[in-house]
Amino acid sequence: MAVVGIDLGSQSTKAVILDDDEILGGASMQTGESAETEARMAVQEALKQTGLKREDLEAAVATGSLAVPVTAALNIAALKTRSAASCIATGAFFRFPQARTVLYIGCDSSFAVRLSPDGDVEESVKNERCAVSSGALLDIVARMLEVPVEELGPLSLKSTSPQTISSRCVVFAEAEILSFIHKDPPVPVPDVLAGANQCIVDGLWGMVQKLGVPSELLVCGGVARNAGIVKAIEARLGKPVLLPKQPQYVRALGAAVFARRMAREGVAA
Amino acid sequence: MMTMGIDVGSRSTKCVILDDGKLLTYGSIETGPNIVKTAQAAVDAAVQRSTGIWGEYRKELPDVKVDHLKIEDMAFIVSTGYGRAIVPFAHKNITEISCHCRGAQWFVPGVSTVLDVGGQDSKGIRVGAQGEVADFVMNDKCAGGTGRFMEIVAEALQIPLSEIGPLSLQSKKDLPFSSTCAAFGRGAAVALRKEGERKEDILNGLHESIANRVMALVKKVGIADKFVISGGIGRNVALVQKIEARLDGLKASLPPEPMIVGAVGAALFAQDQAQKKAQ
Repeated sequence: MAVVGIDLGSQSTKAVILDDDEILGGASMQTGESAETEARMAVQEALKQTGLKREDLEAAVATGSLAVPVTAALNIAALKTRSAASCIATGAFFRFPQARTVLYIGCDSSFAVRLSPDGDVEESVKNERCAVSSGALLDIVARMLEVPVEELGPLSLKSTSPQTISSRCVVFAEAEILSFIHKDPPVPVPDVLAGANQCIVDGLWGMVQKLGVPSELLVCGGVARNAGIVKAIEARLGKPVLLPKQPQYVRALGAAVFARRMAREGVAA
Repeated sequence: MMTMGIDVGSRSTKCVILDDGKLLTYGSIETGPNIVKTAQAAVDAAVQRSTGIWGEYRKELPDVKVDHLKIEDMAFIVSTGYGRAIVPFAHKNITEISCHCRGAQWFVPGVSTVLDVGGQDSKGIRVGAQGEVADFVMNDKCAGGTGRFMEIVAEALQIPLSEIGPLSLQSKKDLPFSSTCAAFGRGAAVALRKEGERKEDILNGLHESIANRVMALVKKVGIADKFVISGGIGRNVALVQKIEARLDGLKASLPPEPMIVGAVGAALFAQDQAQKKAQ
């Protein structure tokens, strides 16, 4: 019984195909002009890894910031949407049932979610009003320093004396970082990156604290692939975090788990 | 006796020269990465009577030759603004709160409340009975209620900053601008355009949101007659209109050149100092 979960993020669109407890495939596409097209392409890419066809998918659940408009375009009979927070909780719980708090860090949205022992959402906090606790600043520094996004983490770990960024606003932090680059001599790139990581993690930690400091913290979302960010979170937590492999797929996986539930309950029939 | 006030802001630097307390000339330029060079260039702009990107002069100036004036001709020079500590030729630097308070009284005698929204900060100042700063609030932590937010959205919509006010006035639709974060402003504006929304309606929603933000700030010090608007927002007709609509019947006083209020205040403080020195 194969099902698909689709996560329409602001930066990338992901699809995860689940068959019972097995993840058969996953694919990610850059989000661009049309959410419908990218969702269809991501599902197709994920299907290629499985040998299945679109018709084999019994149910689908979409989530993310653009979840609503794709419902009609995907042509899967049973397609529903679920909130981002519930998909994050469900995806995290599928990977690590011991997780009690989940910190999801996306390109421009972040969530802190506290789970019940059954993996349901007890409480959640979103960074609605401010970009500082999201990946937005990483995108900006990557562009300013001309470092590919995937190299930001490893490079930041080479920092010997992280540069403090005093701004608590992405827009002002950008101006501040510009002054570090133009200093004579310029602040070394790893130190700027480590400072940016600290700035982001300070914002994220404020969200986590609203839910109470957790015993076990799971970190996911695309930004969780940045080892420097993870390290800075662990420094705050005082112990290692739970880090799923391919953390960017957790929300799509959660959507797939909801789709599986739909299929089992016979909604698709 | 001539005195100079120089206001080094995050986005533009303003220079004002007073002659016995009367406005002799002023000028402005964009703030560059090098504050020392910027300050010197602002003085050049004042003696050449150039306001750079602002366009024509809105405040009448006396018909006298000023292009020969030099820094050495000034009896005293006061700097203010975020770069005030690094102006090499200033004799003293004074905070922008004090300078805006002083400058606002020169433009509007009897002022009670000043709302100043500049490139990267916004502030509300309550003026006391003797013209002193009775109370103030400042937002320099978040770009949300500042000129930078408008700049980012104007860029995303590909409209010059000077035109967003007039264009916004043409809007006939209430379209909420959901983002209060300037960093999300670009994405929010682009998304609305993709949904087919008109530029004037997007700007109208943006101005609505910023007006709410800055009024919440200034209400903390109290709003009373006379209410003065200064800084870059004073040049945005749509935003001024929206702020006025939130003044509970009060009318806003708008200095003819709202961006030089801080520099005028600095020049007035310079005059006090020069007189003290002369005695």
